[in-house]
Amino acid sequence: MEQKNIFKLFKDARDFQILWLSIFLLYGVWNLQWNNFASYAVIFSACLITQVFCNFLLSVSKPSVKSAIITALSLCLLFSANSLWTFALCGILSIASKFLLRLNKKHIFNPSLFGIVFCLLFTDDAWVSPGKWGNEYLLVVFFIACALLVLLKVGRIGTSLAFLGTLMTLEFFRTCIYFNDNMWVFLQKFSSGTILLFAFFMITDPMTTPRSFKGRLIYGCLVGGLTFYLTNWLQAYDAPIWALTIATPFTILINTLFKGARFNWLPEHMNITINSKKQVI
Amino acid sequence: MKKYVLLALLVVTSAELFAFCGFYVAKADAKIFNKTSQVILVRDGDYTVVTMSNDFKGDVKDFAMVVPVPVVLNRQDIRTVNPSVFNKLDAYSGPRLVEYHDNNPCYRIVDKEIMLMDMAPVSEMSMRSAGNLENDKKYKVTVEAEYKVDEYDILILSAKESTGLKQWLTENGYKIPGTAAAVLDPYIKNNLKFFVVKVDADRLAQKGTGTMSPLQIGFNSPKFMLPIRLGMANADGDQDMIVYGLTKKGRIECTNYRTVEIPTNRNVPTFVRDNFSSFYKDLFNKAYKYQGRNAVFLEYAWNVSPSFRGMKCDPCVGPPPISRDLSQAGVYWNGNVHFTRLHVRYSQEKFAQDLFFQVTPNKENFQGRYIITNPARGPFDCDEGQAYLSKLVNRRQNELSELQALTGWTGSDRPHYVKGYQSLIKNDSKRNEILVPIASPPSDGFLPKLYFTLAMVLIVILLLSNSLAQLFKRRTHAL
Repeated sequence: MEQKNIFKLFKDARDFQILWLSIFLLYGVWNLQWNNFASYAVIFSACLITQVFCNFLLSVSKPSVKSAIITALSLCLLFSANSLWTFALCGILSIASKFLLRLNKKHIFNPSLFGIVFCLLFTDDAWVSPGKWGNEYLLVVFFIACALLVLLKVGRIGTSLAFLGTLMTLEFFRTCIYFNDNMWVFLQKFSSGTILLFAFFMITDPMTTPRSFKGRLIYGCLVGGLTFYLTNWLQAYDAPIWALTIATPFTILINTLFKGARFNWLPEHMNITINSKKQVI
Repeated sequence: MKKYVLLALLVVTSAELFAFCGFYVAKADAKIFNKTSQVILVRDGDYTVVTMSNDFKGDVKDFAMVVPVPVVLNRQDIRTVNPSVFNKLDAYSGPRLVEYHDNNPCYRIVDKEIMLMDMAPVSEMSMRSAGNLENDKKYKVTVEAEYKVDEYDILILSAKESTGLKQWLTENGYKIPGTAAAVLDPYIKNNLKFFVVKVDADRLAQKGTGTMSPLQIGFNSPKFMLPIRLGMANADGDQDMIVYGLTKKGRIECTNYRTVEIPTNRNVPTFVRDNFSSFYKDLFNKAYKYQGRNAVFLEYAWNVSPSFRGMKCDPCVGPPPISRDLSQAGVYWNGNVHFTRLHVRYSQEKFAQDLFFQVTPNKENFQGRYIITNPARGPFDCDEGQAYLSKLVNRRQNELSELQALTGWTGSDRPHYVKGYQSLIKNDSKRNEILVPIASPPSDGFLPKLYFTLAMVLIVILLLSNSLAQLFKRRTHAL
């Protein structure tokens, strides 16, 4: 029985995601002076209550608590505001967007992304602090190692590599070749936890990214290119957030061009998993 | 496509390249942090006003600086301001020591708290506070504009390559170290203009004060940053910079380095009063090392709008800046003004990039505040007095551990700090009871962190053990 449970634990990539995101959050709490505990409590409550409430309205017997927790953790890691109401609003909107903004039985926006962008645009109280992770190379290595486990499991590593590959190549040519600047400047740009959190956990969300492998590569390159433009020309320090928001409608377009199987988190539906694996290969 | 360029600041003289963005030489003696420069950043939308402090003390003929700017500035974008604006902002936002007094319980005096402010540390910290045309062509350097602003002679140059600019500057009497030229390259590639400043000794003499005024420039650019790399090119060791940010919306924070709060609201021993400056210097030093030497420290953040009636500090260490001060500092709007004071100690090794900032809607107040509590005067013969002594001895032990945690000072040179009061306790057993070794108190917010960690662990365990749910399901099925 025990063995079977551990096996099961490793079958769902979301378990890994929850584990890693929690570790990053606790790392921040203990090492990086992240101490807005009231906001964390509000985000968790808002996400969970909204999830359960929406499931109740739609008479779904088994609410997806895991997905709500992942959204809550992402918000805790990225989002800042003055008022607890803004945190609550962000949590509620993130989860509600999954139920309200749907196309082809699939939600359109990454839930936490929607919540953050909505609050940044329509409240005068929200911001994102890209600098709050510091520049710890050890953290970067750990980050990537953790992310790989999730991505290999979900088969979404292509999106991350396309995103990072595009962004790093463009940034390398700009900084090291064109500006003739030293390597450290380049490396420091990629040691920010915010960009890695995006590269590995947000743009790889299987539910809101293109279904086919080719489509995901195009999508990754698109987000990478947009991030490069927004960072260097429009000085948007939270560029990946905006890049991902702009790229989201393209998912629909890419999905019509490149057909692919719908993703399912759990491998119970064997037929679908086999299909999606074929896609990855 | 519109191309935006960097704002960078570099100061050169015929003698040497200075610190701060290369800019500023602090007098080593009276300053508590060596090599400290000060800069005021006013930002609203895409418009930035930068004011650079200038207390250059050498021969004015040796003074020159190069301030790269995103656009060719117009005459009206450049002005000089009164140097007192830096003192005012510094004094108002500096770390502060608060003093309280205990009452003697044996006298039953009506509770009255006396609060004093020790301004000494703040005042001590007030610190830091053209070549010929042919050659221009040869070096691909163009003189875009030429202005006289009070005592300053200003040239605005544009350059095509760093070697050309370097040669032009060298030929025109500026010495640029080789390493600085390498850093110039990225700035030039970003199409910036170089704003070269010299002082006219005669006009300075006419002014009468003998000291140079801070130079203030304003421009439109989405980039909100301070170049520190040029200054580091020629610098040995660390440099300190105090940034005073003034915005409409809220705090400013660094986007490419971590912005952390300096430890605050700590109870420290009374003898800190005598040397608060060195206390704060060591505290900063320790915090800087603890945070990995690459963090930017927040020392003060508050709404200082003249129209804002609420408290602007607790306690205030000086009169708040009035509208005139703010307008001197470059604030060009009426209404809300949020004041952020950031302290950064940078070195070439830990700060590869320039400092980039963003304005956030963060309106939370913050100040570096340290508290000393003076004990009551004896005698403490009554029971309450004896109980007070026990508490006092404990408190003083904690203050010493706090001091050690903050600054590394052990207080061993003050053996009577605790013992002096301990010996007054009459009851032998009580006196010895208190003789416990000094344990360092858990740092601020330890318990909330612990509770949060436990809660997180619980959530993760609950979520990951989906077997529990299945087990439960099977049982209900069986039933």
